[in-house]
Amino acid sequence: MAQVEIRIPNRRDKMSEVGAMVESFVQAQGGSRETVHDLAVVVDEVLNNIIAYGYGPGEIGDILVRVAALDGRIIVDIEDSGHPFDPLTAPAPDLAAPLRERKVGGLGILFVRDLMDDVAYERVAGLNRLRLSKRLPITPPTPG
Amino acid sequence: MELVEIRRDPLVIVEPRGRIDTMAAEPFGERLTELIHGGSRHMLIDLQHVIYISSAGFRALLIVGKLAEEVKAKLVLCGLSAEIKRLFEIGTFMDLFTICASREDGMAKAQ
Repeated sequence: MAQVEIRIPNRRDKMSEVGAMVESFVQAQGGSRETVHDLAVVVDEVLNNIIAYGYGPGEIGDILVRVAALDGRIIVDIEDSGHPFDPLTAPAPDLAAPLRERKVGGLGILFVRDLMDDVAYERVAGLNRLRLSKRLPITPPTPG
Repeated sequence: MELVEIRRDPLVIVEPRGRIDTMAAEPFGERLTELIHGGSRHMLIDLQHVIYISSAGFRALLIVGKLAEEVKAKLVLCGLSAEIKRLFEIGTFMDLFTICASREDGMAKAQ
């Protein structure tokens, strides 16, 4: 099973390293442009949430991101040591509001739910663990 | 993300390139806000070289969109890839902005 992982501190300036790893892994697994895009967006959203809300001011923590290809799917596991938080219970944004009243709170989670085939949260041994899963479209073999 | 600006007075075309992720969203939003505060009233944001926009980038666009509405500036978007368009649809942002299929249309609409 192909798999890569990276551990970063809860700092925004470290997020792009994770993004680069995810993008190149999904590309190497034959992910389409759309699959690479969707996973990159979703990982950015989840990390941003953890870094913004998972820790107190000045609190330092670890975030582990593991990406694997398994049974025609890309599985991303994101584990953090922050406050217990199930992003799937976050309220949805009001999508009907006009421009001047629109807020984007909850938009990131909406992207996560919509772009992934499956999202599961569990709290294990003092860690938040989020598992994201997306099917790799079956690509026809290249001619020749 | 890299930000390219092209001036076709009175129009300013802003071309972000790369990823408008959490880190890039702030300078992106700040620059657009600066342009409006600096007097720009005709702006086209061409997203054709953008790989992705995360919700932080949409937040920046919303803030700029509201500001543009307040000062009656024209703000037009173009160059949405199929993947980025999908995010606009999920967030129901399609109706909040003037979105053009081509840069040419966008330039005309932003005049």
